[in-house]
Amino acid sequence: MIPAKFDYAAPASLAETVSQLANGADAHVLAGGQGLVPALTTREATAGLLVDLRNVPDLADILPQDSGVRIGAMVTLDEVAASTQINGSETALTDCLAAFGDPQVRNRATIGGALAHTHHGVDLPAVAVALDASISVFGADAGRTVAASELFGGLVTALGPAEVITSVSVPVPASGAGSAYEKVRNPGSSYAICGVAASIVLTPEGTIDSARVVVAGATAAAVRIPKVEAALAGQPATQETLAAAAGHLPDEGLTFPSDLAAPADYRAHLAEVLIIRALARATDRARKVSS
Amino acid sequence: MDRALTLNGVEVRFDVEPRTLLVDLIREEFGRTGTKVGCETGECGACTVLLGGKAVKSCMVLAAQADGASVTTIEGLGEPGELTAVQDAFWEEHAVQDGFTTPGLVMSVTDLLSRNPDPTEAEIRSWLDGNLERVTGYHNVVAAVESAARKLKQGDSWKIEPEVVAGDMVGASVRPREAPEMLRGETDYIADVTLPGMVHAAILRSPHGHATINGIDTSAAAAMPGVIGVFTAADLGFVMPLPVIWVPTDVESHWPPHPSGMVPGGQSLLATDRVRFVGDQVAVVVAETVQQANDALQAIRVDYEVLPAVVDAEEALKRSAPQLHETVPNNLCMSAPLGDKAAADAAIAAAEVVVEETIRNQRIMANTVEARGAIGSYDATTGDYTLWTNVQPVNPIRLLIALYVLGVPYNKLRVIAPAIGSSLGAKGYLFADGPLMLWLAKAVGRPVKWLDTRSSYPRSTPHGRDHVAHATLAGSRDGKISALSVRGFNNLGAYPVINAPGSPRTLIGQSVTGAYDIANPYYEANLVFTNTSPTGPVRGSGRAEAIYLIERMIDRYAGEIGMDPAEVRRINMVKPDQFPYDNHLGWMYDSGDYPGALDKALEMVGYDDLDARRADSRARGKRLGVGIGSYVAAAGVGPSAIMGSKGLVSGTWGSAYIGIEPSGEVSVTTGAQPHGQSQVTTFSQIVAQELGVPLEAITIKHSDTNGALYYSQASYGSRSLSVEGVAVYNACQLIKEKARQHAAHLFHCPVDAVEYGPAKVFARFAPDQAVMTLQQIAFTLWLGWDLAEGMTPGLEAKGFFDPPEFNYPYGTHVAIVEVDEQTGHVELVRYVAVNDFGTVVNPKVVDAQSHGNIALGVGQALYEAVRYDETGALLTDSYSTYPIVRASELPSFELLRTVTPTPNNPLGAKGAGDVSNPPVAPAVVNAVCDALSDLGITSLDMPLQPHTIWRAMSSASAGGAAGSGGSASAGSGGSASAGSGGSASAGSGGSTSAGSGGSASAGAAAAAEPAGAAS
Repeated sequence: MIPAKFDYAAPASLAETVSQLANGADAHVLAGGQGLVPALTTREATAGLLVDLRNVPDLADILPQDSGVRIGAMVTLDEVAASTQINGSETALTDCLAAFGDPQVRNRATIGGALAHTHHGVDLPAVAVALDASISVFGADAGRTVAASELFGGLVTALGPAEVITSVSVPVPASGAGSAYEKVRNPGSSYAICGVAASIVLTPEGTIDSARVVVAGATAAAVRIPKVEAALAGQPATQETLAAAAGHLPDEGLTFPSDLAAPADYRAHLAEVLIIRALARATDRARKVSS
Repeated sequence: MDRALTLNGVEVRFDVEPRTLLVDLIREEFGRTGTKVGCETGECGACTVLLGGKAVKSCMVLAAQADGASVTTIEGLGEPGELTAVQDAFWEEHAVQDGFTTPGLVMSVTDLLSRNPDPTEAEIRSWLDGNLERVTGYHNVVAAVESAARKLKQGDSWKIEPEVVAGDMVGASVRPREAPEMLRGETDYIADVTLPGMVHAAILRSPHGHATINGIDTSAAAAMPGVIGVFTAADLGFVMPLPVIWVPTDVESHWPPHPSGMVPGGQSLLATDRVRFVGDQVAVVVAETVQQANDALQAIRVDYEVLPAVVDAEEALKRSAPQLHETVPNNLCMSAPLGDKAAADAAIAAAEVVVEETIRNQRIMANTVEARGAIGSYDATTGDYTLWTNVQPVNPIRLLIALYVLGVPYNKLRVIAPAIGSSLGAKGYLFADGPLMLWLAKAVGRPVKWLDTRSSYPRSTPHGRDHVAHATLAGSRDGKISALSVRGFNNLGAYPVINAPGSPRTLIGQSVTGAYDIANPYYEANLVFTNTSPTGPVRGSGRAEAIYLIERMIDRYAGEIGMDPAEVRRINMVKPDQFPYDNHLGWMYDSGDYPGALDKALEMVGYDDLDARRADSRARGKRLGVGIGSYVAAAGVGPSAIMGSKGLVSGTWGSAYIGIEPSGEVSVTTGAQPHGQSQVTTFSQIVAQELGVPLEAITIKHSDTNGALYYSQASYGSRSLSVEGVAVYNACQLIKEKARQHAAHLFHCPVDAVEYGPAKVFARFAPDQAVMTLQQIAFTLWLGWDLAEGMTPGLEAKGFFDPPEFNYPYGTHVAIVEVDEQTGHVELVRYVAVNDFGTVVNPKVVDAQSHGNIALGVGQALYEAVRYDETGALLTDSYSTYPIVRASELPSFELLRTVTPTPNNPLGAKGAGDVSNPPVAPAVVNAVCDALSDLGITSLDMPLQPHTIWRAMSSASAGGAAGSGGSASAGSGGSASAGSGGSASAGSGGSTSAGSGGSASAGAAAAAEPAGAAS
């Protein structure tokens, strides 16, 4: 297996990157390449031009911000996981990173690439949505910052063909907040058969103030489940209420894919189970933070 | 564009196409071939290197992306010729078998320990998830990482010479002699072999399960850059299809024809007018580079007319099914009975309890991390052909290619196997690609190389298992089995593989009684052609299907009569005083204590005291289950005459050559063919033990038909030690005898007065005066100045061994699983294995093979399945779609070995290589069924994917508990097999006659209706 021919460029600026992406025929961004390179090798994907971000400055830093931490798009998942700014507490993000691919993939895959990789089993977008992260994007005119939920809510990532993710900002969790990510991996590919990222905010009294529940592995990369979220608000955070809320999942009418690893109805069942488990762990963590 | 990187500390420049992968840059441009290619798509980790100090898979990085970076490969670790602490730990812990995946593992572990000097076992296993392993079972790799962590904390003090074994060499766990070069990435596999002037072939394969070929247009491909030639069947002339050499002669059978008229035919090198499975070879391109050959492949236009296909063996027997071969009516190759059917039927009719079940052993494939390859070369001056290929039977395929395929003189063909990156049985055949490369080499006048790819592997290399059996077991209410009657169906695929058609009746049929004394067994082997890849043995072959069947039936029977399955086994096992034991189907069990092994295994898991564990699991939302797999597995092929009586046209004796050089070193050539079993080590140990020479003085040659041996039968089916190893032992006796005779002549004394001592001969009456070293004997025999009358010069011998009988290793394995009540996920939490392989030469070598057998069996039980859709399209052609078990999914295995020598060879050794695979899958499936038994679930089909179990649990709880007879079908993602019978039949609470279970068996029997099958 050998990739079909393509051209390659590694420009030294964002402006040049965007210009090459806009002008090249069938041009694609190349970050860590952990999704793209094997797809090119099997010729499932083709490209006329690959624009490599490796020479673009300032994309590989993890910087503290007032409201959280900003992670440059070219920071590898291994570096994110090793960062004390990230791993100080257990969150949906640390859960996701620990279960992402394998060590070699984490050493090479970038957070920008993992967010932009449009494969239904890639779960980082769901975590970004659950954590209410914002994504900085650079395009033809200038940069913009959008909420993760805006970028990943649809069937395809709402990223322009000549746009590049430059960083992701993860907010500091509010007091009483906790998050978790639950994944059942495909034993072959290690992608998620199904994953659920949940974040929860407890009131000082211990009831649920708000929650986000996001499913990975359904038709879109990251699907929020508003009916489950709504059913949680104002409830005591007990196993019973979590389970009852998860029972609203079918009301959303989500469709799940069917493949050799799992049929759709099993994925739907799994999503419900994982919602309860993710919420329970998020609640435990929220209580730890508050106590 | 000119780029540079630092490779192993040295700056190197390169200018390659942008599509070049880093792994290809390292291997092809810079010739560092220690980095291996297993999958090319980032799944297996064999190509792991350090990039900027961190482990990455070099097939997932473009060469251009590494511009300016620092790359370390296996060749860059440590000092030349030495081992790092990590490498030394791998060596010490026997974490290396075939060595193909070893460099990638070493690089990965090097990164782990550089960042985490003290990892827990869980952390190690999780880290190893980036490296797929097909033979070590990860067990010793984990031990090696722990050992390496300890060494690294000691500074340089770990660097001590490995201890020299004192005393007996046989029985000592000496470090594998072949491992250090594997650990340094210096061992050459087929991908690493390059010949001067070599060009490259790419093979076009059928994308259709069944189609006629109306025409092939190769003109566009032939005109592409670098293309030397494009060839189709029309170009091959008198080249014949592959032959079949194992054909039972006592039953009617039907085959594709072979023009020789002497043997049945198999797959053609290139398809003529029709393709019969996805993968059938249609055309071949020869070009200057691999890229050019592959690019040209896309330009060949084939006009196919797609035909209806059939992929299921029982479906293929229906009258309405598509017919594959004109000479094979109803696609039935043969229907071969074994045993006394009337007696079995009578015993079943008279029995108190009858259990019926359809047992499905799914189609799997070896999917070794190293794929296959072949290089053909032809010397126009001498007319000599040479084939380099990574297959086990170098001498057998030499004969078959010369005689039945190319029609060239046997002594004009040489076959060489380079190092082989494991086989699991699937490199044990004659393949169509090997002779094709030889033909091409002559046609284009240059050596031609073909290397397979991961996605092509399931199209090019036979699969295994795919066995469906309708089994009936009869017995009494108090647990004594009286009969077992089985109607088996083997899916042969589209063509018969050289030896595969002989295997089902012998290796499955004869083995179905397992470890039990069953008075009335009967087996019927039905072999059926379908539009799927040919099938043949995969590790555990035949015995695995049989043991799975009987061990599942034992548990079903135990469930029916409400008895502990361990007790049922104990009651029915062959007892130690029954040997030699005739199992009524053709095996003559040799020795052992089967109930003893069972009891030891049960004791190790605390079988009688699992209630607390079950309760603990339930409290965590899990269901604990325990499952037993007991086995006896025939090994040591074999007695040539017995194999001949079963229709195999080949001698199966072992052979060995030993020469004592005039300088005293010992040169051995073995008929064994190592592909991970460490025969270089274990056979050296036999020689060292017998002749008293140090290991370092012994070389072992193999895998080249131009060696000292007339013929070699290779390694397969756990025969190396107990046949080829015994030939080595016998050759040692001949050497000692000749040394004694020569010494007697020189000492002027009777031969009886001369003894052989360690590396010397001496006269018993004057041991310190009349004494010569082995080297002196060899030297004087080489000089030939003073030889006794009739004495031949030189100290050399050929030893042979044709065993009088097979040998029969045995044991009991126990699996403990936890099933997640909500997700259906199965976790293997404990695995205990008690095995008896008779005399063992190197315990750690043998244990390492057991680890591999266990991991493979767990993988089959939980993950693996080759799947086709109803058109014959192949759905599983990557490690993503065909999962193999990873390190984090396995616990450490607990092994115990007992030693009951076989009387059938002078070493007392029984087979070990693949025999401990058969009990694994049934132990795991039995454990899961045990976990779900109170739901009324008694049977589940492999692989036990979570959704299969979830569906069974859902159906069972929806349909009520025992007595419902509800069947929970294990639908497998819309595959053809879904719903065709087998699956979770809810227990029927003490059924005593056929059909009352209302489950799979009745439906499947109705579905079969084999037209023309003997019944």
